[in-house]
Amino acid sequence: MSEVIVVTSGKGGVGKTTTAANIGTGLAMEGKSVVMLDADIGLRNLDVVMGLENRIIYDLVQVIEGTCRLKQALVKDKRCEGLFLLPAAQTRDKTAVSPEQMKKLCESIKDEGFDYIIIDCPAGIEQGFKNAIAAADKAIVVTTPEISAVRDADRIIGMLQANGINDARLILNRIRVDMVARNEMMSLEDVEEILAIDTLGIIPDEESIVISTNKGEPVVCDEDSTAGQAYRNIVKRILGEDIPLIKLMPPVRTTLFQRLFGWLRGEKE
Amino acid sequence: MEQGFSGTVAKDRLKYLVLSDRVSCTGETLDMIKQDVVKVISDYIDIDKYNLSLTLEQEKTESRSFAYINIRIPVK
Repeated sequence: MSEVIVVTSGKGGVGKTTTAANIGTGLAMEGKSVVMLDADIGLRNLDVVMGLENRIIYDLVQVIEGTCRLKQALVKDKRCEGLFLLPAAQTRDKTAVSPEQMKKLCESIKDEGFDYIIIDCPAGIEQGFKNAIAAADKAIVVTTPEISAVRDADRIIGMLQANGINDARLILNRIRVDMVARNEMMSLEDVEEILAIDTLGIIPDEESIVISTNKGEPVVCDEDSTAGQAYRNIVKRILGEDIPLIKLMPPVRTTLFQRLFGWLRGEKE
Repeated sequence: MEQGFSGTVAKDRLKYLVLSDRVSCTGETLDMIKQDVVKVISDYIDIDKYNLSLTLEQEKTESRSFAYINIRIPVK
């Protein structure tokens, strides 16, 4: 039985595509078969974040229009077994597809026996959003601890519920623990109180995400990254495991002596 | 200028924004309601319209939160 999860946010630039890429990759690392579907027609990016931009031959719109078969359009990931990308069309716009067609497309992916379909939703609340959520069983709402992002997330949650998607869980992205500790940034508790949905995970604002995105390698593969660990935890929660939220520590100022001592003991900086 | 830590300021601003989004009611609408309320009540009772308060608030129960309009009208 396959599950369709849409990754959405309302506001752009909060980390939807990165989240979709990491969750898709993480699920595949756990042995699941996954199709990551880029629903952002006209502004496709999931391929770039995955480092698969040079392997695209066909796209989602061509599958829907019958120009090619589903299997021809699925791009196999270069790292993970069982992970595929269905790219969005770059030269078309959101009106090229209807919610009904998206439903049909997801049904045909389900028929191939995949465990998960992860849909990367475009920003906004228009046609593209409606297409992206049409086939979804569940939603992941990504937000950052900023007023505008949380406000949009609240509207999105309302719209998901209005469309019968009641299983929506929150990912709070780009948390800076040092700023939260100084009360110069909203905390997870603050955001939870306002949005009133369950939390799926928190992701620290980390250089490792920028670096891995630069390389086209999802950070979930990076064993040394806290953000990578946070995504691995999220994946386990999606699979039904009960994992506590990652403990984020503010960067501690250390003296040169302490660092030297730590280095001698083989600790990582 | 707003006082306090910016995290708290953000949360307070956000609470109000989300609340008015949820009920599709802006500050401007509240002002219009306020003026109308003053008009209606003044026909019957002498009120202190300068100290009248009309605010959008929310209350939380176990299962859900709901919005309500809180009006306080001092009588002269």
